[in-house]
Amino acid sequence: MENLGLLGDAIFFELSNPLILALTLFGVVVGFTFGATPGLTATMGVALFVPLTFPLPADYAISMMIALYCGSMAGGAIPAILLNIPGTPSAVVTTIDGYPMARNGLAVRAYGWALISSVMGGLVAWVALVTIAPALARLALRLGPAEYAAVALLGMTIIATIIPGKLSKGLLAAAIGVGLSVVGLDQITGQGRWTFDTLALMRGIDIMPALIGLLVIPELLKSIFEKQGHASAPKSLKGMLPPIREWLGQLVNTLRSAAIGVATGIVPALGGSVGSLIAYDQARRFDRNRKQYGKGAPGGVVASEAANNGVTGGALIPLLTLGIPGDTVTAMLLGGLMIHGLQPGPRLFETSGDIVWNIMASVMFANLFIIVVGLIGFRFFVRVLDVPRHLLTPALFVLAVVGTYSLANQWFDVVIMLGLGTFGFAAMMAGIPVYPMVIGVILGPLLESELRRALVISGGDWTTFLTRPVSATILALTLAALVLPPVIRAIARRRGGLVPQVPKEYQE
Amino acid sequence: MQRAASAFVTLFLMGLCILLAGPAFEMRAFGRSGSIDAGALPQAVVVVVAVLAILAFSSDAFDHFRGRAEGGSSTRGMTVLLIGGAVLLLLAGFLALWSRLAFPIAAAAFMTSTSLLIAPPETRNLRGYTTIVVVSVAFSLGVWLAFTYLLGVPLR
Amino acid sequence: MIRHLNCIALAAAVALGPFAIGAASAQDFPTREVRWIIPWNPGGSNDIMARILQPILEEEGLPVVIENVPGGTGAIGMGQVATAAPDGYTVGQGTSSTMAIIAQGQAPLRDDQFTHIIRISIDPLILVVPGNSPHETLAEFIDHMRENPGEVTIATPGANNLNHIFAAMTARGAEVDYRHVPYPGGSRVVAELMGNQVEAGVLKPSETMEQIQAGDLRALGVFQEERLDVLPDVPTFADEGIDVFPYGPVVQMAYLDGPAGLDPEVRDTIASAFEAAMTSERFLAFAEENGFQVDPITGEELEAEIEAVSAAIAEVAGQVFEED
Repeated sequence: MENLGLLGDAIFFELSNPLILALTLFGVVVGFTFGATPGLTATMGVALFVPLTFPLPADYAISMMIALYCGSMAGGAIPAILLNIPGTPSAVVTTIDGYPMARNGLAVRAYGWALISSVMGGLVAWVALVTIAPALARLALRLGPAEYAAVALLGMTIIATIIPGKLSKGLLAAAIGVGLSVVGLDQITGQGRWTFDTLALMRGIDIMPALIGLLVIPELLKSIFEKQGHASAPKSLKGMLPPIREWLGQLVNTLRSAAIGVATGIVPALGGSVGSLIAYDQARRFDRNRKQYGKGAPGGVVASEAANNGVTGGALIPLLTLGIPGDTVTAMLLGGLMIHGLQPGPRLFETSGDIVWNIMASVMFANLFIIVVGLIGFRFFVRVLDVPRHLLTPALFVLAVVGTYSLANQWFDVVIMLGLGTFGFAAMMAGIPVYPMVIGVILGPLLESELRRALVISGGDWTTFLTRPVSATILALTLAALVLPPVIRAIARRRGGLVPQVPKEYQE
Repeated sequence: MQRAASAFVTLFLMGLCILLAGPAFEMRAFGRSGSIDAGALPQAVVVVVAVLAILAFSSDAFDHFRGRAEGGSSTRGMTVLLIGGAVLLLLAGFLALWSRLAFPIAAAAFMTSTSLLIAPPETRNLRGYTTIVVVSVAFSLGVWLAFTYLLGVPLR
Repeated sequence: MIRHLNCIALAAAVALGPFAIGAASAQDFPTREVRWIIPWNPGGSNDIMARILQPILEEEGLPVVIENVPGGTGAIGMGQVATAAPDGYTVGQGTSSTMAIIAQGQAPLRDDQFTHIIRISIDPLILVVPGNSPHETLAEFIDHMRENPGEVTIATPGANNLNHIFAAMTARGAEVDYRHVPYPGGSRVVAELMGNQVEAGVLKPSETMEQIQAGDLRALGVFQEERLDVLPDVPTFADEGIDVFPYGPVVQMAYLDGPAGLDPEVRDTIASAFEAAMTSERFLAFAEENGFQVDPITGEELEAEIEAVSAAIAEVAGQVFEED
C-alpha cells in the first residue's frame, strides 16, 4: 500500500515535470533509431548517451537511458518485418512471421501488431517490476555477506554456462573479467594489487571504460560487416492497428508471452532472443491456426514482440534489487547508475527511494510513448535504414572515444577502453564470449569482498555457506546451473526434440 | 581463422599470467584462522586463466583435428580480421594524433580515413568522397563544440 | 523544487552555452560544476553531510556534483582525487580513516599528493549493537566478549582506521581476542547490524542517530573523554573503567582535499564557499542534531593539524595492529 503511494507520487512528479517526460520521449526516439538500425544495439545507445546525461540529475538521466532500452526493443521490429533482418538480436523471432506478413502485403499491419504487443509486453513487465522489485529488495536487505557471495557466484555461473559456445571459453571469459577487477586497491585492506606502483593503475579499471571497450568496440567492428538493406516506406499507413476483436483474440497470447519475457528477463543472460523463442513456441502450441506459423501469423509477431519487451522490465528487477545486470544493456545501465552516484543493490531503495520510484514511473511513461513514437515516427525510422553505414560507423567510434574520455576527463580511461576493445575483438574472433568478462568485472569485487567478510564472521569456517539456509539454497541453484544445461541438452538430443536455438549468426 | 585467433589470445593470456604471477604470489593469500587475504583472488585468477586458456585452445585444436572445423568460410574471417584490425589501428592513430593536435582535426582525419576504408564500391566516386569529407569535418566540429561548450568537457 | 530550478537553469545554460565561450582561468573559477568525490557509500555519514551542503554551496556560487567512489577505506576515491587534474574541478572528502592507511603505508598514496583545503567536521565514535541484542549495557557486552574469547564480531566501515583502532581497543578492554569485519561504508554496517549478521559496530552518531531513536540500534559507549550532548545517557568507555586512549587522544575528522598543486586562488575560492556554507544556520543545526562539531580551519593551521593527527594515528595503529 505504501508502495502504491510512493509510485503515485512519482507518477505525479513526472507528470508535473515536462523535462523528465521530454527526456523519456527523447530516449524512446533514440532507442527506436538504434533498434531500427541493424548492427546498432541498445547497449551502444546507452553507452554513447551516458556522457550526454552528466549534467542531469540521476533519475532524469537513468529514465532517459531506460527509455532508450525500451524503445530499441520496439524499434528492432521495423527491419525485421520489412527486410527480414532483425534490428536488435532479440527481434530475430519477429522475422519468422513478420517478414512473410510483409510479403503478403501486410507490412503495415504486422508493424501495428508489433507495436501494440511491444507496449503491452512492456506494461506487463512494468507491473511485475513495481510489485516484485520493492519486495525483493526488502528481502535482500536481510542477506548477509555469505548470501551476497553466493548470489554473486550464482550470477557469474549462470552467465558463464548459458552463453552459447564452449563452457571452457565462457568460464575463461568470466575469470578474465574477475582479473580485470583485481587491478587497483583492495576493497578491504586498501593495499594495491597489480598496480605496479603507478597512480593510473591504482585507480583500477573503471566499469564504464571496461564496458565500452568490451561491448561497444567489438559490436561496432562487427556492424561494419552487417548487411545494409534499403526499404521503402509503405505508401499508406491505413490498417495499421488491428480491429479490437482480433486484438482481443490475441490477448491471452500477449499476456502469456509477456510473462515469459519477464521470467527470462529476471534470469541473468538469457536475454530477449531466448524469451521470444520460448514465447513463440508456446504461442504456436496453443494457437488453433498453428499451421499458419512461419507463413505470416500475427500470433507469431505478437508473441515475439510482447516477450522481448517483457524482458526489459524483467531484467531491471535483478539490476535494481541485487545490482546484478541481466544482459549487456542493463550492465551498461549499471555503469550509468554508478556514474550518477547510485550503487545498485538492495540498499538503493532505502538510500535513494525517490529516485528509484521516479525511474520506475518513467518505465511506464517510456512504454506509453512507444506507441506514439512508433505511430508518428514510422516513416522516419524506415528512412534511418538508408543512412550509409560507412559514414555512421566512424562517427559512432568517435562518440565512443569522446564518451569514455568525458567520464572522468581521464586520458588513461580511453587507453584502457581501446586496449580492452582490441582484446574483446580478438576474443570474439577466437569464439570467446565477451559478456562473461563484463559480468566478471561487475560481480568479481562483490564475490571477493563478501566471501572474505563471511569467512571473518565465521572465524574461517567454510561450512558457513552450507549451514546458512539461504546461502545453501543459492549454492544448490548454482550447482544446478552448472550441471543442468548440458544434461537437458543431452536428453533433448536423445529425444530428437526441439530445443529452441537462436540462429548462430544472430547470437550475441 | 578461429583457431589462429584462439592461439593468439591464448598466447597473450599466458604472457599476461606470467607477468602478473610475480606480484600476485608476493601477496599474502591466507590470513589468521583460515580467512582469506588480498593475495588469494589474484593468485586464483592467474592459475585459472592459465589453465582455461590452454584448455580452450586445445579444445579448438582438437575440433580442427577431428575435422569439425569452424563454420563459415575462412576468407570471410580473413576480411573481418583485416578490416577490423585496420580500424583498430586507425583508432590508435586517432588517439596519438589527438594528444598532439586539436580534437576536431584528429577526429575528422580518423573519420575520413575509416569511411574511405569501409566505403562500399558504389560510393567510390567524387560525390561519395566529397560526402565523406564533409560529414567527417562537420561531425567532428559538432562533437567538439557540443562537448566543450554544452557539456563542459573540454576536449583539448 | 530546488531540483526543478536546477533543471531550468540547466536548460538555460544549454541554450546559452555557445555564447559563454571564454578561457578558463583562476578568476573565472568555477565555470562548471565541481566534482566532489565522497570515497564512501551513498547513505553514509560523509555522503549525508555532503548532500546537506550541496544546495547551500550552490547558493554560495559553488555548484558541486557528488560522486560516491567507495572502497579501500576511502583510498580508491582519494586516489582519483590525487590523479585528477589540479584545476579545482575535482575535490574529495579526506577523512582520518583514509589518512590512517596512508600514514601506515597501506595505500600507494602520499600526503603530498593532496592540497588540503578546509576541515569540515570532527566526529565522535560510538559502539552500537542491534536493538534486539541481549546486551543492554557496555559492561554486559564486555562480559559477553570475555565469555566467548575470539568469537564476538565487531564491524567497522573500512579497516586500519580509527573505527578499527577503537574496535581493537574494546577487545583490549575485555582482555580477549575478537573478529574484526570491515565493510565498505557505514550504511552497510548499519544494515548488517539490523540484520543481526554482526554483533556490534563502531560508527559515528551521524550515521546511526535515526536507527538509535527508532530502537533498531542501541548505543553502548562513547569513544571520547566526555559524553555526547545528543546521547546523554550513554556512558564513555572511561566511565566504565576502560581506557581507549592508551597512546594519547586521537580524533576522527573529515576535510576537503584537492590534488597537489592546486592554484592558491582556486583553493581559497573553494575554501571560502565551504566556510560560508558550513557556518550557515542550516548546517550548524544539522551538525548539532547529529552530534558532530564544525570547526572550519584552513591553510597552515589545517596542514599542521592533519600532520599531528596523522602522526598520532600512525603511532597508535603501529602498536594496535601488531597485536591484531
